Amino acid sequence: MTIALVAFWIALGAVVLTTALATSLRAFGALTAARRERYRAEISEPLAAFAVGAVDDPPPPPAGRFEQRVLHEELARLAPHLKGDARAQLTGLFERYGLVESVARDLRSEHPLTAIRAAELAGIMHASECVPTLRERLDGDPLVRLACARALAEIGAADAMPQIVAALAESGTATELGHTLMSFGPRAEPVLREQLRSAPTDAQRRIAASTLGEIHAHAAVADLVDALGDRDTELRAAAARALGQIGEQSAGTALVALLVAAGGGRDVACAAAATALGMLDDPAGAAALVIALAAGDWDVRNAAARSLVALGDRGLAEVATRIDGLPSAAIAHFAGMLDVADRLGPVIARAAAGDPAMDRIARAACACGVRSRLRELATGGDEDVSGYANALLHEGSHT
Amino acid sequence: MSPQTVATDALRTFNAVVLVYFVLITLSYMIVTATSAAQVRAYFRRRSEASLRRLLHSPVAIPVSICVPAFNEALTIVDSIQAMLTLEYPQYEVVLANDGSTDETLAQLTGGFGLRRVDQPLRTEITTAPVRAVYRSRSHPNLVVIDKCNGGRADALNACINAASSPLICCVDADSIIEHDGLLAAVAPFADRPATTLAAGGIIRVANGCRIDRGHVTEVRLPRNPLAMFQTVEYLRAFLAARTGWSALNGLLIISGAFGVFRRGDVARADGFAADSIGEDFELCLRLHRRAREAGTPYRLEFVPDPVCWTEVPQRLRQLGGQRDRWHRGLIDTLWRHRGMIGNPRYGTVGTLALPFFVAFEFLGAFVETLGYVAITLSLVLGIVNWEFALAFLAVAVLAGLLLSVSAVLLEDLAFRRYGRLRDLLRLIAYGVLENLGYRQLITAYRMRGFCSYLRGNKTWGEIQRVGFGPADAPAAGAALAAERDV
Repeated sequence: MTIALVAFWIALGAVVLTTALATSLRAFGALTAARRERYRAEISEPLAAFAVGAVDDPPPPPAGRFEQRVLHEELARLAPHLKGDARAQLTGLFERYGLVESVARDLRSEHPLTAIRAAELAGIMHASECVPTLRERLDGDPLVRLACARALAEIGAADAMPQIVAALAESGTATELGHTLMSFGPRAEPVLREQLRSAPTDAQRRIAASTLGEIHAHAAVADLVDALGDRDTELRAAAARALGQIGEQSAGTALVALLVAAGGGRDVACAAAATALGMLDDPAGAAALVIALAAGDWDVRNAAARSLVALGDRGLAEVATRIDGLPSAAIAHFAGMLDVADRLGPVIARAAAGDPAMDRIARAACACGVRSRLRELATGGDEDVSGYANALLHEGSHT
Repeated sequence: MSPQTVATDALRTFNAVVLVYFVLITLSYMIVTATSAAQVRAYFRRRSEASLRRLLHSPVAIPVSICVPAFNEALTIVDSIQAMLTLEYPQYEVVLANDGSTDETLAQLTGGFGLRRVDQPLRTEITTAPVRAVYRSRSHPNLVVIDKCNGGRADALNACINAASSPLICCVDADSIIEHDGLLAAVAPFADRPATTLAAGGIIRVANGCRIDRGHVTEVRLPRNPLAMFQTVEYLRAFLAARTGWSALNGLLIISGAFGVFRRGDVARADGFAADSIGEDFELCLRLHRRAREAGTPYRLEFVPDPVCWTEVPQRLRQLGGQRDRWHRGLIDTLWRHRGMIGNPRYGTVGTLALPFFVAFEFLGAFVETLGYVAITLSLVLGIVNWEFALAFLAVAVLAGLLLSVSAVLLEDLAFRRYGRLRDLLRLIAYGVLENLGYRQLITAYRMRGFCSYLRGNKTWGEIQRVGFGPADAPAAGAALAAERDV
């Protein structure tokens, strides 16, 4: 009986305690939210009007910590939508109301989210006064570190880059490091090239390669071409993709060599090289891509087909020239990708109009079983095209 | 010693064992709940909305293919896919596999999205039932529809994986509703820890009762149906109070098939979802754990507590019974397939903690509880125990469940407060108490039935009937006849 009574009282206690706790927290939350909304309503419109120059007087300065926080939030919400003078107005107000000090104080907070939000605001407001504090926090909690690094990038504190590299490399967030450095734009190029050459981990080198591609760093082409010969497959792939993004014609030969070297086997670098070649206007690249269409690995074949489709008429011409030597799986893959890109219809139309190269592609595609577009066009309005499509389908049914 | 004395002693001992078992199970769950609470707190101490927004505009955001298996979903499919196509994420596609539907699913899709048949090449990495055709949408270039012969949910997911073009796949049920920023939050672990994150799952919440407009939850409300209410509390307990804790310990065993993000390459290399399994999401997670542990690579399976996927739950006993029967068969089947991992230190927390926990409390729990009720009744009838002991037994059993339910409700209220009205909170607490007086016993009975079905070799999914979400101006409460997914 005692056990039952104890259990009953514990159960009752748990229910009452939960209800009381949740209710009181809800009440407290509702009061705080109401207060926040009141203050927000008071400052929101005047702040926007002041920023765009519609009124001369800004909203009254915050009375205490609570109001400061709400003003922080409003500034963080408003500032990214403003540029030029309007943004400068807000930055001026940010300094005038002593918010730099409050952000710096929040940056030193032991509560990670407070520090993260402060760093975000410092970045949004381009608060260069906060740079020393932001740099100090680069050795703290990984997410605070990350927020500070991003803020430094937004402020444009280029001299903090080596410290950012060290801080983010330590926390293992290579993607974020790349993204952060990307925010510095071309100024990050020397740091990234150095990273690509000598960063201690493969992950960092891969990200450096990707980031160089994202910022279209033409000066890094030689380093990226060197990286195509690295032992790490992922790095080779990242370098190939970056060269494609940069679009430097001179990288074509190295990419072709990488594509050929794998011999069509399973290799992410090989597929990446095929993708990159689709971004370059290189005649040798198109020829290599047609060869890669016959690769045993699906991903390589797919990347080659995609790239040939992306190359437009050059890709079509190259495939038409070499189509007799291609296995049916390669033709079907290429024709399928043309169909997905909604380009097979126009190829059939050109074939119907008497283009011999397109005719070869259309016939080969039909022979390989790629017939959905032909069936659709066979019942279409254009007599020449429907006649051609019907004839091809008829021939196909007899082969 | 007479046989009667032996039987009496055995019954007494068994009663004591059951009582201790209840105390142990409660303590274990409480520890997991406490770990979850700490994890949720840590998550909110770091989660910044701006960081999430930044990922949205990031050029390095990882592309995602949303994989949707669909079988006879004609009523909801257009709204569901429409909602999926408006998610906040920089680069994603929706790959839907129509798994041999016998209703108008494909016709609805064709009409709704202007599908055209294409000869798209597909990988054949994972063997699936034959694909009949591939369609692309004229209006939405990022929608791919695969029409295939029926092969079951896992098979349809595998077909999606073969067709997916992104490095990440997000498996979603066709009638699930992902919140607009849910994908962004679920993918965040892959951006934060790209080298180690193998999979991530979000929370599944009950959509019954919510107002739903064209595939979007516009107002969060609790269900009016008592069965759906019990499941609301149950889902909170399963996701918030359990999975968060297991994730913190890197012992997360299930990422729900209704909303889970995986690396496409890892899943394909592991031969995809097991088409012959009835608990395919649990089975895949265990296989991923196993492969990573055996390869000696550092990895994590993450549960992220705030990306939300809304789903309908059964509102009729027959449908609920069928669902729980299947879940329990899936549990037993998967545990049996990976029995070598149970208690094996080679598999770290999963082998030494999570799996033994599952065996002791999830699998054996139904037996112990059932036998406990039988033994106590028998003891009472035979006069082996008195009313006081029986009452104590019942009180401890109820208390065990009550503490867990109430703490899950409290955790939800403190951290997320999705059910804003005070009346909702009170209803949740009330159902947390009431579920121990009937609903829990009912679920135990369904699990026992599942065990018997498993022994009989039943591997069917059972029939799923849907009538779709309600219209914009009516709660979806009466809408669901069944929803089939794991908690």
